[in-house]
Amino acid sequence: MMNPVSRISLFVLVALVPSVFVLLPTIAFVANSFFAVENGQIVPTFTLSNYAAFLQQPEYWGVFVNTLGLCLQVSIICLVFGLPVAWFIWRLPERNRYPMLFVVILPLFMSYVVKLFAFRSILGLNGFLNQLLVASHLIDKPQMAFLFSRDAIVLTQASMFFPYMVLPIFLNLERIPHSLTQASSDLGASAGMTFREVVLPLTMPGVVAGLVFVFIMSLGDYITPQMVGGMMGHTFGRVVWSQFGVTFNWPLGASFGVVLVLVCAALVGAVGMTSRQQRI
Amino acid sequence: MTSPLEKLAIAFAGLMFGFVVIVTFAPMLVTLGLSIFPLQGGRPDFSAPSLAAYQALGNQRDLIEAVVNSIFVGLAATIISAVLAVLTGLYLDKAYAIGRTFLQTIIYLPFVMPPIITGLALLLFLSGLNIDRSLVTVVIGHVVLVEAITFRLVSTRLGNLPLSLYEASADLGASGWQTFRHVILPQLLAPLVVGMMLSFTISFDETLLTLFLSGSNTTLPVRLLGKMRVGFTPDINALVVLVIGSTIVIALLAAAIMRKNAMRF
Amino acid sequence: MDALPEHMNIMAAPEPAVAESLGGQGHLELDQVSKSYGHEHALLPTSFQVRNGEFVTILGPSGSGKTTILRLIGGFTQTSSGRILVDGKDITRLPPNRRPCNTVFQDYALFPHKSAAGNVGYGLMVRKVAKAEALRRVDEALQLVGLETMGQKFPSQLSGGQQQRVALARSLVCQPRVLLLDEPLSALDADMRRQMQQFLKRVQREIQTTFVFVTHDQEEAISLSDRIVVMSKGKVEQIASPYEIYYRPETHFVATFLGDNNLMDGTVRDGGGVDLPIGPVACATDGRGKGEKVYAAIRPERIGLARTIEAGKTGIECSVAEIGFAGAMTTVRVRPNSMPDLSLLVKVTSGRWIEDLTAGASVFATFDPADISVFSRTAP
Repeated sequence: MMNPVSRISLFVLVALVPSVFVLLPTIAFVANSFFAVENGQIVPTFTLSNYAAFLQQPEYWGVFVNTLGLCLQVSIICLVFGLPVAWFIWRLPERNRYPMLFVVILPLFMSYVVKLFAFRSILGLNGFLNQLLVASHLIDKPQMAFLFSRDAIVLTQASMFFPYMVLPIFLNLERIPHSLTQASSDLGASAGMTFREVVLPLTMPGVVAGLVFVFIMSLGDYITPQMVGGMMGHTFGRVVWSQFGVTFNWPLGASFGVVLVLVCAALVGAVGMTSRQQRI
Repeated sequence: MTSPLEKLAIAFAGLMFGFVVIVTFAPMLVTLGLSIFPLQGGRPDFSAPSLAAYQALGNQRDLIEAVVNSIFVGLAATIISAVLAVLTGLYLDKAYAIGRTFLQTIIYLPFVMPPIITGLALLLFLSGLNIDRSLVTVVIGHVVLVEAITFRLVSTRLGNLPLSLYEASADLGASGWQTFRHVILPQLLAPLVVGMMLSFTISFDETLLTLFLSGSNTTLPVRLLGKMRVGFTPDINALVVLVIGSTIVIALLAAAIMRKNAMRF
Repeated sequence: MDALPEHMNIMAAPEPAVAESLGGQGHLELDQVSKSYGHEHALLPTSFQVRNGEFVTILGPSGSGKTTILRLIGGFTQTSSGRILVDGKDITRLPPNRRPCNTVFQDYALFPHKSAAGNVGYGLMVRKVAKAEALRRVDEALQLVGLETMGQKFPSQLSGGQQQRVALARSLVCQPRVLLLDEPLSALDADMRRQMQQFLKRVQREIQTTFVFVTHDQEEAISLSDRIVVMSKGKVEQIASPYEIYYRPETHFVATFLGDNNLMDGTVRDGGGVDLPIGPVACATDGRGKGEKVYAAIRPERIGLARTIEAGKTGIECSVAEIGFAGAMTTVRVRPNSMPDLSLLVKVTSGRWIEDLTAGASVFATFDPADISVFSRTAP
């Protein structure tokens, strides 16, 4: 048994690093969002003007709403492909399942920056996609439209964050006991009905988790839009970033950051709710 | 029995699987191609594959320096976070632990927050303390980012160890230290190794956070990002292929260990 | 050893040479030991002694406090009051690693990363016993449990029964004065369980170590033990030999927990004997006073059934209510004609006459008053 003094010192030992480098910065960040800027200096007062600015100026909240739409699009594309792919892997013979899952996960370990560059060379004016389409006479001359468009952002992000969709769905499918699907067909359900009535509802927590993972990744990614989106790449992440990098209005940027975090927190909370409702 | 309709569904899902694999592996194939086939007037010349780019690697002095930086940051962040993760895991496994939820929250926070926020918050905090950006600040950022991974794996393993294992060890005469050394540590080895491997690969590739935290002397992804506007030369592609190749080997090893030990997140 | 089942006597397994280095006889004493969590009493103050080399079983349903006792002796739980002594030495405040007892855990708690030999040698390693001696003792212990060829196998490669033996060897190699066994057979299937019971008993006779064995299985307790401690709700109900526990219960709980029994309310008569619903019976009352309310218990197999009754013998005239054929024995439920509300359970050896017995048939129930045990109706 330990005495209270050593218990508390042990606690301090393990809590020190995350407290100093996670908790304090986060608190400072949130505090900053309530500060004001006067004559280029940050004044530590309490003001809601940063949040008011966000709500009042369409260039801020407009971009925000637009970005949410973009992230939603990325998440839904990932789901449309992720659900069948996860289901396909789940239906494979047991010894092939994890190797195939690994094949899908593996791109996560390929450099983020290199992926960006590769997509630029695929989608660019002289890119492989244009060359392929011209060579097969589907288009007459190379199209600029592939790169530096909203679609380019969606395509690049969807392919980068795709594994984050498959992984939770697959792990959720794995948790469904075989007896449940067997019971369903024993009770007379067809394969389709079993999928719709048993497998799909029990997979919902994984689906929701995947949607939220991809959504948050997409929301926080401020480099991809710039690199493949060009003028269309002015997403909310860029707006936050520019308050720190370009205009040096840190309190305003912090308030935008808080808004971003609140959205993410709400989404993570939603995942917690759905996974708690349905425990297998 | 599999009905015809179900077979059709499987075939369709299999096609999607193939399509997705092609799309997600395309960047790697493109990079590999560009490192082997020299460019002729903006187009790769598929008729003359060569390894010349790999021999010219030495020309990219700044990138090689960045690789060394990345390895340093990766190792430092991995080792420090692993020690913290094991200590925290062991502490929280005890019945007398206080502040359980608090500790878990601050450890997982950087992992669930968008990295732009973690990065900006640290940037703001460090500049408030007048700490200059350097590889050290990058290491700090990476430590708090990857601690969650090893902590998760270690604490899951600890939680699955039956209490009777500790009791049996004490019952057979072992002191607290002996129990840790001979019973608990061997059990933690697999999650620790896997956690450290994943931590290293994540740290090695981290860009969104590192961009805020690094000074002029920086890691490979940030240096590569700077080169993107001018485009990658074949020797950059060659370097990238080697780097990604080693990362994939680490990932494969980690996956093999996880599979052998029936580990889950 | 009265209640040992037949198969114990025909054990064909050769007994290994006595391993001198294994185990030792210890005298265990619990002196007013109790355990409570807040206002919850897991164990009320309890005292009993276990003699050198004795096999004592603590028997009770879950939540009766039997595992609590074992954990208190092992040192995994701190006592709330009282003292625990081994060979007269107070060990109440010693940590588990400094107690002269070892435990065989319910889930075996084998170290999954160590081979069978590594597990068995663990206690010697942490005590820094010289390598050569440790190797010899590990071999000896593995030999005792019949696993001398399995030393290099890992727990996951061993069957449940083999894991059990490794756990036993691992504890015995530490030469405990007292070996504590926490429901060690509960995870095994019925067949393996019977084998392991015989095996445990043989090992105990072999090395003569004091065994304290916890179980909720009455048959196991009866067939293995020298003495049984019956527990219920954190309290000791009775401590006695298996025979006495079975045929001479002292509390309502003991009388009903172990096997089937016939229980009747009774009142002590003036000058001995008891008034029962079926009439006065001349059984021993252990000096209880006239008018004391008691229970009278008689085991079903101690009641006989007869179609007719010989002159000079007494029997209760009953009608058969139910017949249950169970192989060698047949269970018959009868109702005395004088007391149709009362039902008596009778177990008789199956015979041809049973085949003719039908519900409603008239029979005589006979018994020897000496087979009736009497105990107080108010809790002691």
